[in-house]
Amino acid sequence: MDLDVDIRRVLRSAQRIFRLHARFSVREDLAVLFGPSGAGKSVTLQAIAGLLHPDAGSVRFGGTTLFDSDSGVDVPARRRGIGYVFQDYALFPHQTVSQNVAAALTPLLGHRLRAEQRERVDALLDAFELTPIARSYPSQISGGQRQRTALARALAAEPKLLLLDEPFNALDTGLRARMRREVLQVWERFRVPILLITHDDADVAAFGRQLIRIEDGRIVTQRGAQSNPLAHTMASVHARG
Amino acid sequence: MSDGVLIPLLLTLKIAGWATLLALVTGVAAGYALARGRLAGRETLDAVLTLPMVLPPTVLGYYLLVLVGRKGVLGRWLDETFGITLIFTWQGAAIAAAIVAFPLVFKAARAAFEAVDGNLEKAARSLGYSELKVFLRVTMPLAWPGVLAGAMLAFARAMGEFGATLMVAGSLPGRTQTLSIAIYEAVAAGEDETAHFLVLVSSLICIIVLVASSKLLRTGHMRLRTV
Repeated sequence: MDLDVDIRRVLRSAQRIFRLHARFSVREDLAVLFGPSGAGKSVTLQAIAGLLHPDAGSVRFGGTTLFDSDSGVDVPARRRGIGYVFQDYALFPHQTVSQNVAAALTPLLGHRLRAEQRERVDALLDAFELTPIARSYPSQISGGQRQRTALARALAAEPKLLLLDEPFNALDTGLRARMRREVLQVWERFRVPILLITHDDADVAAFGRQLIRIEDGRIVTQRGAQSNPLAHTMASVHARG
Repeated sequence: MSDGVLIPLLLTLKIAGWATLLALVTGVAAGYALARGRLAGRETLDAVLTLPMVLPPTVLGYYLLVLVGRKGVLGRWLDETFGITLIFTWQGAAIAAAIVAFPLVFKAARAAFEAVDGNLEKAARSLGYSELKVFLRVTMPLAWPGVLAGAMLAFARAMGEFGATLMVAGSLPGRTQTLSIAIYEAVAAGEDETAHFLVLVSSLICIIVLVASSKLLRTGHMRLRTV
């Protein structure tokens, strides 16, 4: 992965004004953005995907500038090729599991797929053990199945980067370990770089090839798998992990 | 059914149908704009758009006359450019009914669009959807039960429209005399039997529409149980 993020955004709510300034680089293909709730993780992840707009700064991925407030570049989310799995999965409730997985491939109207698209969807349903529930609606399936559906739906678009927002938060403890293994399998099998956000130490242990720690809107440490000195200043944060 | 009932009934259904269609298109557009757009002063705009629901229909009818009447700004332009007159026509009655019914669609549509989880739209964008595709494939299907319920109420309201319609279109039997106006005329003329029958037909249609609309709303909610 070759991701450089430097974004600022002021978030206002009734209680407080929150200033986010996230600046970090990711080089490993499996990375964790770690921090407590309300530290600005989701906002950062959504800004990378183009789902919300930073006030200023830049996002570069794989040699392409996706956002740059100085030069006015802002590639819309639909053209970024970045997959996003929401914490609550955001499955389309009016579509079956199969239609959800096929969502990235379906035309403007109707549900007709070309033969090779149908095959891809079937292969994904099979890979995530969703074939038996392909005709069920999201409200009728379990939490683990919802997560698999969300992962399969994101992968059907063949993203160049997969962002996972607190992927195991909505699952009960027993299921978490299993889904962690499954996500690692996805990473190996589909060869897609993954950046996930979490506030759970267990996720860091499982996925933290590279760890970026965020607190109160600031990146406080960043370490890679090989080099690991804990850096505390903004300047050293920007050093490669 | 005698012509005395059938003719105003068919005319009423025609006028209410067109009025509902008109209110549906404009109400959905306005509801979406206010639910999703970042317009300044949208609550003021919301209040203005809701006015037809609370204004006396005769006041609305008066405004309409001023606007599309023979001497009105829009009316004169329509007449001179296209030779179209709306006054004393069923089209004029349909426009009057559409304006009265509009807030019912608009209010329902805005609430329905606001109830659609924004993350679903974001998820669709991250899957490569254009804004049109997001609307057609995600937002509209999820908001549809609420919008449809609003449209049914609008239809019932348009069916019963009296004041604004009478001022704009008058009461020409067979041309602009709707059921509710025919009822008034029948009572005024002392034709009790006709009045009774017209009242019964009107009530029946409105009850059917109400039952159907609440049923639609319920099945819509059942399908969209929170995930």
